[in-house]
Amino acid sequence: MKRKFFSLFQKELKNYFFSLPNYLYAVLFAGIAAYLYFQTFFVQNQADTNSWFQNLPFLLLFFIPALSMGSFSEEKKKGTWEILLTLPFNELQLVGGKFLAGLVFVIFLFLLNLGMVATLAFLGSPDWGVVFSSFLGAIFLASCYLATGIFISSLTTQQAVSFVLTFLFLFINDFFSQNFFLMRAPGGWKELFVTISLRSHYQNFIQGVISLSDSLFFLSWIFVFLLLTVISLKSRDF
Amino acid sequence: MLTVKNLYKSFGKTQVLHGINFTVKEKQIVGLLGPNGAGKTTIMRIITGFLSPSRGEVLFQGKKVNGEAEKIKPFLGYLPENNPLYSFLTPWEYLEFIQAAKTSQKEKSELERILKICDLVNVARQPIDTLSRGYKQRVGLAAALIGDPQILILDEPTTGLDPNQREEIKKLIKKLNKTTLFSSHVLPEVKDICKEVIIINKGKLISQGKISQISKKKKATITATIVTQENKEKITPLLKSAGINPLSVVKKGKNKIKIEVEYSGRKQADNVRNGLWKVCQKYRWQLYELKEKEQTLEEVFRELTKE
Repeated sequence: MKRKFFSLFQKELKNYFFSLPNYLYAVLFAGIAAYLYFQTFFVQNQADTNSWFQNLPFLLLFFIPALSMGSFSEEKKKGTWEILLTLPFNELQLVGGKFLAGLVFVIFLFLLNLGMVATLAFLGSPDWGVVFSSFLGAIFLASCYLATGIFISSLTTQQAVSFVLTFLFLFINDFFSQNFFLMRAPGGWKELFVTISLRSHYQNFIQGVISLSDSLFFLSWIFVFLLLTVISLKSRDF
Repeated sequence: MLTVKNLYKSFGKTQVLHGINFTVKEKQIVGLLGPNGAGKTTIMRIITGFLSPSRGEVLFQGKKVNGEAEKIKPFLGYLPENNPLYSFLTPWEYLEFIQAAKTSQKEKSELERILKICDLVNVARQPIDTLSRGYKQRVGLAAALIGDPQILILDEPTTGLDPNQREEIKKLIKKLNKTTLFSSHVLPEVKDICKEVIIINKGKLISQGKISQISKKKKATITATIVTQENKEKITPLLKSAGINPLSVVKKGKNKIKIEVEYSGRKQADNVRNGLWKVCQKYRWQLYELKEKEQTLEEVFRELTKE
């Protein structure tokens, strides 16, 4: 059983790592993230990673939909999902394999920015607790984006449609945490918007606060979207 | 070995299959024929567990497997329509993945054996993307053979191939000697590979059985060419008086007349032949030629699926 799942995971990893566009995304991601970070780094004169993690949700809004857009839409378009679902795999394993492989690639993207942390350690003495909680928050946030992207990708056979819909969905969710929006939101709704916004939970992590409620929110989000993907794959019968 | 019982399938309000029944016996290669949209792929997808039937059963070795696709998956080798493949992998990597998924094992010797059977040894480490269509088809077939499946389900395995490649795939399927359900649009190819066929149209089973029997069930003709001085117009009443109802009586050359008589079944064919023989003797016509023509599979297919 484990070996079967591992073979699927391995194939998905190859799909991510044997793709030239993905390496271009990775270089672009690392370049933009470093540029945005070092733009203010010397001005602030502070040994912290805050500005890098503040910019991250915005960058991920573009990069995660680009990574997830083909996960199921391409399988459906080419018909390869028929191969997978007639092998001794079930929908849950397929979704799990894609999600985990995607997550590994996202962590690889983050690792490309380790140079930033090394510079920080060389020039000053950062709060490693905050650096750790921020990375953890970033992984949670990216996982939520990825689960959403995989679900939306399972609804269509067009990668471009999947990209645009994922971007829009996550952009609107991100919008809910913006102050200029919350200031204008009706009183009772404000709390709801903050609760369902991924970024507002992420903010606590980059301030060094690892709370159970934020972690559970992220995990629930991932669970719900992966479950929706399983349901979406099963709906081929109707 | 594989039985499909009263299979119904609908997508929304569209009824795709209407009570399909058939059996594929062990080591039999059965052709599944039907025009586009007849439901061939849906039947195959239900057997492989990709889809579930709305009603009906799929039995494998007497045990119900639909709804419990995991039971049949390890025994199946499936080549879906259009042969989807992971182009970023090499044939070796792809087959390794299929092997791990099907058998949870990594048996190098088994992979080498299958690559050899499918004549893929020389291209085993080349990305699938760079292979010709014929080789890609072989990769799809090789994947279906992993794990020594008991049944092969091949959905139009020769589509898009040139005549040489088609011939090679045909030979390969025959050589495998496995229980096979095989769909195709190319009828001469079906005749070459299968002895039995299932013909479906608009989701209904139209005919099933040995190709020779199906052809015989349909109307065929006996053509007799006679040499006589008799006028063509007088021939028809004389034949009718002898109990023969000709389909056509045509003058052919100076003294020759061609008579075409339709029959259905062996017994009727014998009666028509004897009747013609007797009438020739009675009126002293010289029987120059007697030909029996059964309908070809193409003609039967066209007739059965035209409406």
